[in-house]
Amino acid sequence: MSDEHLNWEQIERELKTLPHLEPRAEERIMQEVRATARRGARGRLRGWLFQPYRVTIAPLSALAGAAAVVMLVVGALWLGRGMSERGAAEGTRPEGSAGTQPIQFVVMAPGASRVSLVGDFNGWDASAHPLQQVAAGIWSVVVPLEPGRHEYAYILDGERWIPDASAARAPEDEFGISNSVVLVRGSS
Amino acid sequence: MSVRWILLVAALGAPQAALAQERSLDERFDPRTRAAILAVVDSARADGLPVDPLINKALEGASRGAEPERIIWAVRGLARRLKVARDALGTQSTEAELVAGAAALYSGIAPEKLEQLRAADPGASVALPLVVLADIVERGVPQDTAVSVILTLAGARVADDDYTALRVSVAEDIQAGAPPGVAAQTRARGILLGVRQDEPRPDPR
Repeated sequence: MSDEHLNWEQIERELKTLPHLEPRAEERIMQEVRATARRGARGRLRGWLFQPYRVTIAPLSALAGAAAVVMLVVGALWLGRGMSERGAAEGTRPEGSAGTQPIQFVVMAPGASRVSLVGDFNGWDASAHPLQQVAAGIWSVVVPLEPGRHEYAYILDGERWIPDASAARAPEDEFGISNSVVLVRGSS
Repeated sequence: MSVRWILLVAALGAPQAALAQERSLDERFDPRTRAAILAVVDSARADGLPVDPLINKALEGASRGAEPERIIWAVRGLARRLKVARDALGTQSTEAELVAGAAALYSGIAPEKLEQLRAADPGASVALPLVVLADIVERGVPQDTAVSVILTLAGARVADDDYTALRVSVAEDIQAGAPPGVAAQTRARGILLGVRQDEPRPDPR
């Protein structure tokens, strides 16, 4: 048996022999191994998120990205102003979901035989929105209106124009009449 | 529907709506009156002003049985006030703000007051404050008092509901016999006290 062959056998024996450990060391090592295995996908994701990476980017791509961010911010501010405007509205009128809003008009006209609603939303056409008598002397109609400021009035029996007593008043206009005003909220 | 389609439909729909409104003038006016109204409308459109309020003013006059000359005069007057309101409130103003501003001007409010109102809370819509301003002036609140009250509330950045509450309560007070100016000042003071009470108090520690 050569010295070289003898040395290989000694090395093999040494490697197969476990090193001497203190009594609880093996248990601690196995606990750590099991904990690493349990981390699974979440642990790997956390490791990926917190591990530093080197990123390279061309100057043109960086400029394009910055421009996109600026456009997003400006767009969000513009939309926010639009929503603020649409949200600035008056009254306890019922609201719809988007675009036009269903607005209920109610007027007390005990002696009237017919009542019409006229306004800038129907070309001041007395035949466009007749009201229904919902109780003795109480007339009502629901009209979808675009968000914005609208002037209107009621016509009793096709002749007598009256404002809505519960609504805001517009200044008495060039025709010597004070219309009522409704400011319609937009969707929000 | 994508944003692109919504914008396309809106872009195509808006001129169609305006054209439909202009066509309605054909049925309600003789050719001479119609031509005079359309001249004002075209001029306003070229100036970047909203034209629907002008057509509506003409239609309102026709429905009320007003004389053609009076209707033309009313449309011209509104076009002038819309321009003054736009100059005072800014070119980014909405149609509702411009029409409300024109109404406030018609009730005697100076253009400078519109500028001050816009400056009091630049990010907010002035449509509702202007509607309430015109309303309380119409109900008899002296102009100076009404302007002062609305500017103070705008400066305090009160909520929309507070403007509505002011309008309703001032109308009730006046109906109950209160002097209009006193009613407006008292109710505005109450709103401001409410706003201040709602503000978070400093920590006494």
